[in-house]
Amino acid sequence: MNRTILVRPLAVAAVLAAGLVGTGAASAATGTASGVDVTNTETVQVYVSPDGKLGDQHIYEQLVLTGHGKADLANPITTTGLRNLDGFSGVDVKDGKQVVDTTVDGEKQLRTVSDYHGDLPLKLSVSYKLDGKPVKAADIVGKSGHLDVSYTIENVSGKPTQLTFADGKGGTVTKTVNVPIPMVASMSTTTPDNFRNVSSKEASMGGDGHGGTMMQFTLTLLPPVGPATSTFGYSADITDGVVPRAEISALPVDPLGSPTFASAASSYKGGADTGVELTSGALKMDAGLVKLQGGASDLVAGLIKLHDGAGQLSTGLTATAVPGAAKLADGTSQLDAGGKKLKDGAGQLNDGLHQLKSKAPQLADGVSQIYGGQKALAEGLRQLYVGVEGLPSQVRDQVNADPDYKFLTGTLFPRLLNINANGKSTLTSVRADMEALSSITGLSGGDQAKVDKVTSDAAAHGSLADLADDLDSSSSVVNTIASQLPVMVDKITAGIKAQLTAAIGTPTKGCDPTATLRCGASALVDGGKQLDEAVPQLRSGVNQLAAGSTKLAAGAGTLSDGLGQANSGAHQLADGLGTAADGAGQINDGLGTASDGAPQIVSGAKKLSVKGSQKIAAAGEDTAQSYGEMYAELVAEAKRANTGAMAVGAPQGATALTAYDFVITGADGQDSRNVTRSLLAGGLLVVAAGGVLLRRRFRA
Amino acid sequence: MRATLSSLLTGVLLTVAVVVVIGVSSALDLEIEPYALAGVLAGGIVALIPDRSAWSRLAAFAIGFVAVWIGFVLRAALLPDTEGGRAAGAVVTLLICLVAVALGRSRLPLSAMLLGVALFSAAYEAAFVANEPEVASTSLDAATALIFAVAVGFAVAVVASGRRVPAESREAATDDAPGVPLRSTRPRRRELTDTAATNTEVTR
Repeated sequence: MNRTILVRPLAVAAVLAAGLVGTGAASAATGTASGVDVTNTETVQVYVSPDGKLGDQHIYEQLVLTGHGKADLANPITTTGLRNLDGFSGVDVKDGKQVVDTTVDGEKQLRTVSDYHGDLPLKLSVSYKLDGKPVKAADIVGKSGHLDVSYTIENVSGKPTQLTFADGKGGTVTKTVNVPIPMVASMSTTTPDNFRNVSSKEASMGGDGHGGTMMQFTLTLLPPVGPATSTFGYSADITDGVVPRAEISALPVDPLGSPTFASAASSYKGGADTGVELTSGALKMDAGLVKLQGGASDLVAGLIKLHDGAGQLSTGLTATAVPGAAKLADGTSQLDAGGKKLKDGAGQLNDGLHQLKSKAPQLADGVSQIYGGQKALAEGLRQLYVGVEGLPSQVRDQVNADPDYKFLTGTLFPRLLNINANGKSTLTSVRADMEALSSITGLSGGDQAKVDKVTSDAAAHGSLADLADDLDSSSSVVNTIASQLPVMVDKITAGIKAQLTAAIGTPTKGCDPTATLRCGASALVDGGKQLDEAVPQLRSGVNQLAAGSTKLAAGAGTLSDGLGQANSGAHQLADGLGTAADGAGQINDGLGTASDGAPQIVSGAKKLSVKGSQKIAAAGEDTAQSYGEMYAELVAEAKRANTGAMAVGAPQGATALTAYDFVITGADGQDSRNVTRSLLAGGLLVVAAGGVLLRRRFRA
Repeated sequence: MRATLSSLLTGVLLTVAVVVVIGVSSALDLEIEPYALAGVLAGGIVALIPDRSAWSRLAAFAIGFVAVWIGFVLRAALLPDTEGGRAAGAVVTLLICLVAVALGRSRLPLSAMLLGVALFSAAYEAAFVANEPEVASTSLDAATALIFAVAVGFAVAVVASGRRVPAESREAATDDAPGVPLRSTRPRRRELTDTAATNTEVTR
């Protein structure tokens, strides 16, 4: 029975313990090779009573070894209350240093905690006022009223340090300054829901979701960026009061390495440099002011000339430039209009040339046809010439073959000659008969008279003679005509031939085209040929013209636009010159005033030298020294942050980080609450026991 | 039927007790509210476990409660902050319980002891991890809050189940009825020497 009672719980415990240990044993890690980086962090945890009294202080040391290889290092630590947080073994300590000799493969972590009794860089004090009266924290618990809580944190890590900085005059100044470890801190606290009207000038505030108010205070404890001592707090109306817990985290910071403060350091350095430059500049300015006094006189003369020039300028602008600009504007308006016309004309030209380009093939065909016609004409004239050459023989043959000609020469002419011969023979017989009548006598008187009249009529005798002559000459004429007619025909045809051939002519090289038809035709053929041969060139030229006209049209458009802009600009110029003329008038007036006031510059420069530049030089020295001191202090603080900020110290070559965590415990009446709970619990158990006993007694 | 009614009555009374604890805590600013349900019910369980006398169970519960408290203190003061340290604390806690069981010679039921361990461990672990250096104050706060709630639950359950149960029905009722006497599993001499008044009163 007893064995069962013991074994069952042991078995249960063994199972539970094995499960938990197994969980822990599963967290090992391994790796390989060379080089180990060491990071040492120290966290000093300080418990502070609500009234600011220091309590327990612990320091958590953490070594993180990263890499592969052997690590042999000594980490300065405090040994009081030293405990290994990563294992059950102790900590190997020699001469106040944690000795670590291990092999790292990947990452290894070593943590310890121990009591801390070293100096703290910060001094903390807390004060409370309830309804305006100073009270202790314990006095607030359970009370109501208006609570004021004030925290004061002072950076007390300062050490006297000699700082050397520029004096602003080319030399240096050495000064002993208390240089602290630069610290930044933040304090957070949350007031419960029985704190109303919570306010603070310094805190960032917000609700906690449970009716309380969260507050965050940020402190910069690094002179000269921030004060070495910072006082802050909050106030609230409370009922059933408590003092809330608060935690302060403080970290050393390198003011030159931190982006937040590096700008301030840069500003201080810039201020110091500016002070030096300011001093130098002020001294130069003072020298310049002396020159200014001399130059001011020249300025007066110059201003007078300038005043005159400004007057001329004003006049010139008003009298000449403004009207000229108006004319220019008019001209540009005309140019603009002309440009638009040019644009239109170029467009039309472009259209016409493109039409010409489209008609050029037809032109080429026409020229080709003309050239063909001209060649046909020349050939026709040649044939005509040949025909004319054969014209006389053909005419003779045709005349000889003509029936009328044959009748004329073969019949009519012989008949006429025969008639003439018959007439003459008749006439001869008549004359012989008349003579025979004259010899006849005896006839009655009448008859004789008639015979005598016929034989004695002279006229009749003359006419017969003439008639005989006429017949002779008529025969002669007929013979002549008969003999001369062929000759005449030949002469006529020869003449016609001669005139025609002369008119038609024979083409020779270089003959006058106006002399003969064939010369003209030959010239036409040559011209037509040249024209035909020139057509391709003509077409090419037309194409080029068309292309050029397109560009011309575009250029004309651009020109028109430009002229439009020029027109607009010219009008603006005209308007602007009007304004300029007004301005020039004002300048003229102003220069008149300036020339009147310029003599005051001389006296002003003297005053400026005495009361300005010389004082600026003095201020520059002060600036250079004050900013130089501040920057030198920051440099010294950065040195302390990098070399002396560790609470205890770090292994050689390790990355060292330190943090301070102040826990201001609250006063919330928990002790009395615990007592109350315990008493109530005990009372309940006693009552329960009493009740049960009484019931048993009654039941018994 | 009576056993069922008794269970229902006890459950109702424990429910009322939880509400009352929360109300009293709020009224008196005792800050017990987070622990009220677990504490009251744990106290009720201690009272209702059918194993030895109620006071024996309460004592065993207290020993388990203290044992795990010691385990937390050891973890904070001596043991490493690792899973191994946590396991060692658990082992120490359970060893204390087992030693107590052994020294009690069967007077202290293990179940109540483990309930004490479980209650305080579950209620306090998160607060311990969040603020280990302040184990002295934070564990005391948690312990007193739990003790009050446990006391309420224990008292209510003891009173609610404090009635006679016919002897012939005891064994049958042990599985479903609260506060059943344990005579069947205990020597009569032990019952007679157990002077503490309990809900497991034996009918003579």
